[in-house]
Amino acid sequence: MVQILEFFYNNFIIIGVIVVSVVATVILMRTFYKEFRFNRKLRFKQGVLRNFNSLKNTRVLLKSFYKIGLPLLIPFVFILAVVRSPIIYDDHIHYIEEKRDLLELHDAYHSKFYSSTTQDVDQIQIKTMLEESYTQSTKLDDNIDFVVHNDQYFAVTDGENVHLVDQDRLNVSKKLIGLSEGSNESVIGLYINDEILYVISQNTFNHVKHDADFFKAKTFIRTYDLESQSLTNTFEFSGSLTHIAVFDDRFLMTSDQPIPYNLVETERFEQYLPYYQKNNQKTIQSYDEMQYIEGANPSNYLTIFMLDLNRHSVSFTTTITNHDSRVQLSEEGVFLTSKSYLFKSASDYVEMNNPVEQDRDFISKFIIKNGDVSHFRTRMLDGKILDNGFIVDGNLTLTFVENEDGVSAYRFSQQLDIFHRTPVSHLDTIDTLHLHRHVLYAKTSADHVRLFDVSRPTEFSSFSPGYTTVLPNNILFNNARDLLLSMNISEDKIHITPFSFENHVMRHNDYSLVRTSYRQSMLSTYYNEHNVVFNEDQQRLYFPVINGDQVGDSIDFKTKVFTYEWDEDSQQFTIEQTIDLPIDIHQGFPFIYRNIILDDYVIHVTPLGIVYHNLDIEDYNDYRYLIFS
Amino acid sequence: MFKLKVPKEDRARIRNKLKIIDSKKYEYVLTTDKDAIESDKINIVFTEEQAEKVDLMLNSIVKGEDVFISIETEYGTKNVESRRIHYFVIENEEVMAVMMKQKVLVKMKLYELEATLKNKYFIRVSKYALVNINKIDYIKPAFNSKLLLLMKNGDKVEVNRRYYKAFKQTLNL
Repeated sequence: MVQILEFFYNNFIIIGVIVVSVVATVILMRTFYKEFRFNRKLRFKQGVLRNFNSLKNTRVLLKSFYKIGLPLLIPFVFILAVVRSPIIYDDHIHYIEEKRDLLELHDAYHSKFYSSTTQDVDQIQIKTMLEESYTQSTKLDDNIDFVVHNDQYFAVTDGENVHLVDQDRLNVSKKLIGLSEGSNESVIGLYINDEILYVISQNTFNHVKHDADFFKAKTFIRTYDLESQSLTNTFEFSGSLTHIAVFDDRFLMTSDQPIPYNLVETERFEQYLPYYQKNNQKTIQSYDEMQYIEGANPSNYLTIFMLDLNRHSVSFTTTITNHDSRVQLSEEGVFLTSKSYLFKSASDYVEMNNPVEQDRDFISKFIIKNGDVSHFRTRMLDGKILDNGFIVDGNLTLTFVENEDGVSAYRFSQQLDIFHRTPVSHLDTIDTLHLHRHVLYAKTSADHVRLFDVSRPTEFSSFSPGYTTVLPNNILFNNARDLLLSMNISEDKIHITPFSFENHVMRHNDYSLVRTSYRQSMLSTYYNEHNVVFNEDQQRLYFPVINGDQVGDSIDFKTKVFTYEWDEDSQQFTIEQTIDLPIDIHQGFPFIYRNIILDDYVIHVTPLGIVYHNLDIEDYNDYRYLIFS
Repeated sequence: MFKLKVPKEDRARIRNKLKIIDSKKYEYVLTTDKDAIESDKINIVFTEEQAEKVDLMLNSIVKGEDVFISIETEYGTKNVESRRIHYFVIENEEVMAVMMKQKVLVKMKLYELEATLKNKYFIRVSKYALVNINKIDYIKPAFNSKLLLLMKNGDKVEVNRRYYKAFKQTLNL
């Protein structure tokens, strides 16, 4: 609804002209028809009266054609002028045809740095980045989690096993998948859609540091029919999965694969091309389906996979680009930002100490069209994007770019055209960008948050006063009027912050809800917002805490779940009840706790089992539990 | 006025030769089949070869049924066939007959003319004008439920809102 209103707001003039033209055309068409009928009847009447001079065809005056034609012509010309045929943006993008083109790209790029230090730095960075990128965790969508459920089942994973529990029989579970101990595969998330469970896993290289092993990284998505509880499809995707998200019944994924130039003389080079495999059918990316972004280091296959959850079909596209490209997935598509060198023209012929004329960043957008994912446009920027300085959220596509003139905010249209470029002072670093409603929050490394108004596409301004240290993210509760409860975890504190909005200026009052007990420092390293559950119906917060009690020389860890009730008057939570989860289902590191309210039950889930009890607070400690075997 | 009764395959051709359009109310039956005559009408039975002669005869019939109107000219009173008059209009409280190139005085009231020419091809279009349907070249509807009649002599006559409905009925609209 908001999008429709926004569309009307943004296209008011166009819609206005079309509506006025249509109304004018309808009125004139009626007049035209009336005129035609009158004159036809007149000729007929004159014929009946035997008017010898009037037996001619009824013709509408030419002027009348102008009257009708003109209003029709106005919207037609207007629409022609505004709605242009789709433009193919092929600037800064090159397509290769065969392996030789790829090798030439590599040679051309590296030959420029032959005698310069940039190459050495680059090579060192490649090695470091490879290690980092292939051991870092994948960024998962919120819909993909360790615990998922639909109306009938919930599924739980600890990374090795996946257990399925029927909600009608909370005391029975079935192990759907169990990875063997020697397996280098681990489950990173689950997703449930209709009657199908998707199990996403990766092979890992925690202990393997050979370059060649990075080339073998792959991701699996297994689909299970929940009714028959049987495996239906196994998908395999090449590369190290960097991002995965679900939009409109589709998985969007990106993976990195270093291009093994050291194996170029061997057959193995071809073995490490991007591919996907559905059951036993393997589809390898062909060279002529790959694109290269101008000026980028051709060191990496960055592949975007799209898995259609209804048809279970896959589409993929591969871009040859830097190994450290940053990716953002959104409903609009996939955005890729990275570095592109603009070389001095002489660098093609002579070795130069510094062949780089300009060092700049680019944004590439990939869209889903007709069921396929494909490159849409690449736009070069006149500077470098600040780290964490790019956000895509709903209709907002914005980046902070730094160049010799300072930092500027660029806002883009869906076509990646620039709506505006606004200089921004005193913003050198960004830790996090967060959009809430029409306010963009830029948290700097100095724990300072700048607020910007992004309500209008063509304007960008700071809010004044614009000072807060907390972002309204991880929202627990939002009544859309005057209360927004946000949760932030830092070190050993969890901050529940009530926000209120008055003329876009936030009043905030953050406080530490719980201090962790003995030896529970660095809480944020294993806690995340998914572990703290706020039930809106009950206005109750379920907050799990690991307690460590020293028993002799050892420490006995237990999980306690505190329940808190929101007090409107004092604007804070007050403690209600404490539940000691049985030791058997306590899980240490990484800590995973989820809480599901089903009918009359509260169900506490960890990857080791479930605890369930009646919703009535007096029955909280009268629980039963199930241990996954 | 006329009803043409000929075989279907010959109909369009003969109708063009005779320059007529059938009407529901008719007094004359034109036919090539003597069995098709209607006893209460005036019947003209002819062959297709005689069509040209019948055409001339029809002219005479139409002319013979015309009404003559007395007009005042500089040479005195003169009778003219009503079909030659484009329209009558009241100007300075006098009724004027407008023909192709001239405008002449008529010594009759407009309502008298209307009554006389009622069954002919004249129709009242406003308090001040009576128009010969055969002399209307084009009808232009206006936005305010009025019509503008472009006459064959180039004049423009407005159909008043009050007479709009009657005008439509005359044209069977």
